[in-house]
Amino acid sequence: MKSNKFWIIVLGIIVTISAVVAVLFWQVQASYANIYKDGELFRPPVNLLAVTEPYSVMIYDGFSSGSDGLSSQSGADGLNVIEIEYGRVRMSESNCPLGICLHRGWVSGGIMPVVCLPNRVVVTFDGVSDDNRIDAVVG
Amino acid sequence: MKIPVKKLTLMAILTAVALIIFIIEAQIPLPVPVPGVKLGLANAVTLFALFYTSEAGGQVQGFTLTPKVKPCTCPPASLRFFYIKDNIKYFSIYNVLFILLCRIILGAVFTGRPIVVVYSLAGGMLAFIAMVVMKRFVSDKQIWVCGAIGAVFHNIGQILAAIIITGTPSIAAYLPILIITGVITGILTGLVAQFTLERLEKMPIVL
Repeated sequence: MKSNKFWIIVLGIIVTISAVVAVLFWQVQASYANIYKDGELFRPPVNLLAVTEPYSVMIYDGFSSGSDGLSSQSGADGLNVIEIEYGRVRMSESNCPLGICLHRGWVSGGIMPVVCLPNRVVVTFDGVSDDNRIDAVVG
Repeated sequence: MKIPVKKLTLMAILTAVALIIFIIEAQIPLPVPVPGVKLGLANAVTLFALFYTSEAGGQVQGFTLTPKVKPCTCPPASLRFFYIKDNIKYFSIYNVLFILLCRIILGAVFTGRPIVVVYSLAGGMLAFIAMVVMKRFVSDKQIWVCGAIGAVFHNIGQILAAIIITGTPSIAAYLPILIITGVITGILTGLVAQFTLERLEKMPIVL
């Protein structure tokens, strides 16, 4: 049997490593957002740095329609509305029971995707440039 | 599997308690922007069952590799690693597993979300294995360590299930945050189980 001190150190190390990795994951400005439904990309990656007019994408009942005029077929059930602005994205509406995806608020990048597990909607980010990284840290 | 009535009754009570905790917890939304963060208080019941013994104080409560019963009536040698004394005073890990599975399946039925089964099952099984292994390395005053490790593995299991269901490996990026919250909530639920067991030992009623 190990002492309490040993276990506190072990758990402390686990938490510290996770904290460092988590901090690295959160702060990076992305240039592309990919919106997935049921693991499938249903519209071309959105270039976040080329968005001039904010618009939204609604995913509902097997279809997705954006206020930018682009619409396509997507996975089954669930209602999600994703708003897209210059450099950032948010889940603005969802019929999932807990609304965890809504609590994320505006997200401008990082490795951490915006996830709505009950409706299986995932927004991932990629494409990072150095000048944007500075913006992200300051902002 | 023959289970003494007294033990079966206690298992049923523990399942009911775990189920109630699980359902009430599912009704409370946490204002956290990360999916999968929760207190996981139902795990306290699993921990309680894993460390439970009806003998008051002074008894060895860990794994016993030599059961009291003669070899002919106990499980094959290959299974003996996972064997806690099979008499009324202890739960074997199969009993604990039974409590856990009942809670998970009934929990999904009562919360009305079948997808919950997949996440709970993946997390619950991994956490259960981790806690059974951890039980060999901790004393009965260190149940909180077991709880923390269990919670971390529960989150790992859930993330794996989420990756498979949504088909997006980048969900793994949530893991560091879930591990941090898991350690904190795991210590809390572990302490709940530990204090309950400590108080129970001092009680005049024998469960």
